[in-house]
Amino acid sequence: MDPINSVLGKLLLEEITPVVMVLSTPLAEQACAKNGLNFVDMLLPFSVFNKIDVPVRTASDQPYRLQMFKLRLVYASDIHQQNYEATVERLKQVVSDASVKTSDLQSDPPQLEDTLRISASDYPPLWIQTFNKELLRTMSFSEHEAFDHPVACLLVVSSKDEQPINKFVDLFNTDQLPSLLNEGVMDPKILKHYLLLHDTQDGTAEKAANILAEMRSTFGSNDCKLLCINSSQDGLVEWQNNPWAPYLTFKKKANSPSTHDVGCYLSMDDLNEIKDFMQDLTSKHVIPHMEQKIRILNQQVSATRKGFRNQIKNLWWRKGKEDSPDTLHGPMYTFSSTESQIRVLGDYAFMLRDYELALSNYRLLSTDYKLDKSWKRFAGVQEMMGLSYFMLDQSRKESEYCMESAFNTYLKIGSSAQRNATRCGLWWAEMLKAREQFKEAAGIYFRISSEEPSLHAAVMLEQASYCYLFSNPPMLRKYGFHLVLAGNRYYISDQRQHAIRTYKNALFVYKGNGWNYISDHVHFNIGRWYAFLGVFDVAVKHMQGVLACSHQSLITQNLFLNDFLHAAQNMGKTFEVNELQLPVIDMSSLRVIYEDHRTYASSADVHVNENMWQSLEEELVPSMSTFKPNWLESQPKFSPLKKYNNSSLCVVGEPIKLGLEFKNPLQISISLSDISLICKLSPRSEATDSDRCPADAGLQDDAEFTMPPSCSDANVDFPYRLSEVGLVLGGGEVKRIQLGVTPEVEGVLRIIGVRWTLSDSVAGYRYFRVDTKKKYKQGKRISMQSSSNNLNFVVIKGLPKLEACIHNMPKKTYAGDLQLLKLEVKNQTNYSVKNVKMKISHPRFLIPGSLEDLNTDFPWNLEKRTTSESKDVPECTMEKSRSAVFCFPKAALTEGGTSFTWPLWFHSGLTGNISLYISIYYEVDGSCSDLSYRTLRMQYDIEVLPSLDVSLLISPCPSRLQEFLVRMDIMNRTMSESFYLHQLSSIGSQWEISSLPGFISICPLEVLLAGQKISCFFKLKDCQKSSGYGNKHIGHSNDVLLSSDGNTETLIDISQSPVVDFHHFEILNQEKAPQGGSAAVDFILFSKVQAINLEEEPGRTPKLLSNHVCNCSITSKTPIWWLMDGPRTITHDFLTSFCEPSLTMTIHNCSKADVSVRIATFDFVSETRQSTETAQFSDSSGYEGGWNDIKLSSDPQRNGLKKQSSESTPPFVWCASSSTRVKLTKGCTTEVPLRICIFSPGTYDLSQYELHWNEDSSDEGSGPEPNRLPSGMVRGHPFYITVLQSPI
Amino acid sequence: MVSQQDAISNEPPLQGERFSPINKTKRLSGNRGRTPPTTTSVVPVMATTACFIIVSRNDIPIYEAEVGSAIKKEEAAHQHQFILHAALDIVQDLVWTTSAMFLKAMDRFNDLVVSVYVTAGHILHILMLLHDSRNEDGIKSFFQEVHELYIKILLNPLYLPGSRITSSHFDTKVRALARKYL
Repeated sequence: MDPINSVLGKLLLEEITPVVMVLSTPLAEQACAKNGLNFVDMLLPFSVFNKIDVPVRTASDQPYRLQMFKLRLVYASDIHQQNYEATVERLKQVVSDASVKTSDLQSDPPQLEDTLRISASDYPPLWIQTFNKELLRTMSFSEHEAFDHPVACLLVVSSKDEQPINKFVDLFNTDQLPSLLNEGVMDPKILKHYLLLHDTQDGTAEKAANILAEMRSTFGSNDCKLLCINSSQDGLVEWQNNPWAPYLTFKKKANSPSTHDVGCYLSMDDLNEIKDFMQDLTSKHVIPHMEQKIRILNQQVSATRKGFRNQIKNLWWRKGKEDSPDTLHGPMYTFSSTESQIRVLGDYAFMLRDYELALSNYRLLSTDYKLDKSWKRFAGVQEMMGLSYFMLDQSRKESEYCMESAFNTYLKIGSSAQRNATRCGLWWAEMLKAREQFKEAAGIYFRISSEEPSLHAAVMLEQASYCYLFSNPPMLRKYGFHLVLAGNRYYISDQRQHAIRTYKNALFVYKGNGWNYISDHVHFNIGRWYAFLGVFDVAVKHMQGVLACSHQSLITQNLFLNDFLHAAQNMGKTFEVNELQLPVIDMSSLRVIYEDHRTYASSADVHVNENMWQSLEEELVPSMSTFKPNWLESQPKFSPLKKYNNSSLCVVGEPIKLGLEFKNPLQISISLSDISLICKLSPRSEATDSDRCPADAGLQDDAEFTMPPSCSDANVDFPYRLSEVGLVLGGGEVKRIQLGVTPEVEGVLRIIGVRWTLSDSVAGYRYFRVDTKKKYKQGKRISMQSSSNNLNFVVIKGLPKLEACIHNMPKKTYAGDLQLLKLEVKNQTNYSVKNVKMKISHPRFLIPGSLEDLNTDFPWNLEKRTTSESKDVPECTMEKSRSAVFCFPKAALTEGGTSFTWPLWFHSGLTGNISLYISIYYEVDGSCSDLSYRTLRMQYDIEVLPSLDVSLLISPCPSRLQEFLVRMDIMNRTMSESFYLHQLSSIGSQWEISSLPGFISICPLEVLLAGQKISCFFKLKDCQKSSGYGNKHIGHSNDVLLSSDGNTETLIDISQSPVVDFHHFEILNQEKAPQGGSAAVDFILFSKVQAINLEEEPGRTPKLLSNHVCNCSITSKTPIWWLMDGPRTITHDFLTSFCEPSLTMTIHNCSKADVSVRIATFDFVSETRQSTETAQFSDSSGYEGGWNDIKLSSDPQRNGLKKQSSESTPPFVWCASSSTRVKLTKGCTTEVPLRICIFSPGTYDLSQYELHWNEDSSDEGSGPEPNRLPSGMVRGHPFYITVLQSPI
Repeated sequence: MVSQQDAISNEPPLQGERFSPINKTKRLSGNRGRTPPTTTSVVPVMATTACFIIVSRNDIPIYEAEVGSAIKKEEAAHQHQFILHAALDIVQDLVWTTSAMFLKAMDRFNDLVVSVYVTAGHILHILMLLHDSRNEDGIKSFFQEVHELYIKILLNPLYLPGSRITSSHFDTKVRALARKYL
């Protein structure tokens, strides 16, 4: 780019131009003032020549032509260094003026595209350019530079003045002359030009001509001029293009009238005359004068400084001067000193655009100043060198180097030259910008900014930001950062509008990424400043973005919130904010609870999986409509409702509840009030009239969702009731809030949003729309299933509704707890219901009782009535329909507003956490309604703690058939509870429990303390078998009191309703599968809690616990049972013959299958056989597991046997066959005769036989049971026979 | 670019930060120039400012930590973010001109310097550190070790690349490394 055409080039051509000092008399000023102008201003438009076309010849002989030229006319009184405060004030004025023009407070912040579209030529904005110029002008007339020194002096005297000639002389001689001239910095011999100003209104032209003639004779004919003005008499000259207009904008407007009046007395002739005068002054006087001076000075400089000799001399001379004191500004240079002359020469050459000449002189000078340590001058020269290099468009590096050294030197000098540094920096930056080195230019601006007061710094930083924007590629982040920095400075210097503007421009840079501190800072400050300016709506808009600042410190959060609330309160009305960020609403937590045909006893029941309920209700509800999600289709009468396919049903007068999680992200607590739903209910008639398609409705939605809720519901007389909630959320707290809406007319209800009031001043609202839309996008099936979150409802007319609860339902209890509970069913509505049914998910825990149970006292009703024949009581109704539905009797029909109670038996069979589900089905009486039935769902969670562990080990009595020894281990598993053992019962009539001989009671203890464990032993007798065997037993007992003082306690009748029913479910549920058919015993242990330590009220009857132990196997692994029978003591005369007693073995098959048994007797036991057998035995016990199955088997016996066998000959031998085979059908008993031969008296153990059994699995389809082997071998029980020698 | 860098580093550091009104008043009260902020007079050991940040694609910061020993100032947080965010512009310029991963002192604001470590593949992730210490070697090894840690985080199958690093283990490790090297 041609440097002349660059911004800096133009600037230099404009600013570094010859100065013409103006001295005028008051009368002359008066004449000009008629036009609203002073003399300088009047000439100002004509001091710029765009096409002057003057030939110029400086030092070289080659002339060249100047095209554009400008003179700076300045009053002599203005030629001085400007007052710092005044300049600051003026610059502030420029910025303030601009703030009104440029800042549009209401406009939206610009977007990325808008910003990138801005071209570099439009920027910086005009006001910044003006600012820069003003800033540069504050440095004018410094003593170390010569280009501001007046080149010529224009003396103006009015024709009205008396003795004008004397006036001219006086003007130049007074003390008005600037200090530059007086102090000798400048050559006082200056080109003078004398002007006589003639106001045509005041006098005739002749008088002026006379004076002019006089002047010419006095001052010389060339230097005198006459200028006539105000030739327009009426003062009504209207200028189409007022030549003063562009200049007046910078001047103080207060003094001048409107621009129309300016120059009203000046006719076109006047203007032409002024123009000619100025042209003449420039081309005939100023420029020739400068040319001449350049030539003279150049000769002088050449004579004194150029050439080898001069250089040596100069160096020598400088060295000698080095001893002089080193002042800050270096030595004083008068106008006559060589240095000053070189400087003047350089500056003049620069002004006449002979940059080569200027440069060579500046170079010469810079070394001199450097040697003199006259830093300020040195910097000034360096600055000019840089500019000369730039204008010559040579060597970029040189120019930059010069500018940099000038800048740094100025900075080094300190505060006095700080402003010079700024000017130098501005030029430097412009230079870089002209060369498109924007990034570097920005750096310069930044450096300037750190040296200037905040307002100037702000403008500089803003320029820096533009530089970043225009650099290639655009550095947007830097742009934003510097805008923010600028905004900050603007704010410090009270320019809030500028601050807002810069921050707003930076907004897009920081939009939507995770730099949270940045966006908080920017938004909060914009909001705050808007609030200062009173624009509260925009303030609130910006501030709401920073509210959820969980990452900020407590103090900052407080500040944000308070400022936001303050701004919101100042708006006067309650402000409604869409998507207010405080509190944070977790949309995924949205749960809708509504009741159509499904009703719930409590809100907690709703969260149970729907499938759970459906499977429970399978048998309750009419089958056709249960599983279709769109069950409406099954009944044609709902066809009008069909089009609301996605809608759920709800009933008039019944609330729809909506759960939402509100989270406070801050550390401070916030108060929320008036939290309620935003709903829209269109009554049925309307909805059917406007059969709009969903798309239409969607369009309407869009409009709806854009406006705040207060607009939409202003004119609706709410056909629904809303519940309002208020709460205080502590720091970081999350609360789930349930909101309700109760429709009161039929129609279509839509829940569209939620609203709340924050700290009583800001209303926030949020629509749910986005959420639901997303859900529908996931495909049809999902949207169907997620209907629980559907927010559209069809409101149908009122239905009956049952409410139910179980009184005193325990939350926490011990295993085995048996209780009578009451179910209360209420019908609060005015409608009646029929056909009430109930189903319970866990009949093991809860069964319905009968109505009589209500009248009796628990647990006394359970006690055995000795008089009545309780055996005749029919089995409970539940017996047949164990898992099925319980139908309440017809009498239990509930009319509207009534209630009834029904007993329920509760028994905690299993430890752990159990959820009980209860569903009550009822039909609507009167079929006119939309729904024919409803269900009521209840859910109870119970924690069952372990209480008593009971285990039984039954082993057959070795001595007697059909009798068993039972070991019962009871362990108290509680931590603190003591149990009072009450009763042990066996189920079924064939078992008889009796204590072991020698013991009074089965159990040695009555009370079992926490953690205690006892074992008790008793005998169990199978009466059925024994009766079959022959011994008739009448009046046997299967219930035994465990307490010692059995008289006071009464037995509990186990054959009555709740116990027997629960026992039935226990059998079904206990893990052990029944083994061997009838060969299993069930026991029930009743115990009472002695002291109630659970959190129940203490006044209740002692708790009754019943522990059911089912299917205790009475058999071992063998399917057979045998008993050796025979004489125990025989007296025999061995002298005569050996003894031959006969024995019988009774074998009973207790398995389900037919078994063939082989009895093998042997006289010797081989060692190998023994060992294999033990191994087998240990193996089998290995996989048995469980501590109750530990074998009490006869190891010592076997050892004895072993010892015996190791001895030589057996004392007896088996007679008859060594092996007998018997086939036994199931359940039958046979006797096998056996016989032994004994040779000598003694006691013999007849255990040396084996029973090999083999199951015939083919007989029955069931096959062998998994725990049992199809075949096996058992050893004989010890049977001792004593043979005595008969007395001879 | 390079010439300007040199130019800046050749000259005395710029006078006191004037970013915030607080600093402004500090300056007016005579505490001007190179004197460090008042906090240093309280803590005899040299208090350093250091703000470490990991930037993922699209300029999104995924990890931030103030690891300096200087007492944290209220407004420092956003100031550091501003500086680091702005420095991304320079990073994007520089990254394509060099094959080095560690770009030392590639941007500065007053007396705070930004050093950057770009992970292989350049555009993916940038580790940035804003610091006022001159310990180049320490910074380099800090970056290398943190990079290693970061790779471990990336290997976690439950970590979605580009999401915020919330692992407290990572945080403590980074802080320990900062104490060790910075």
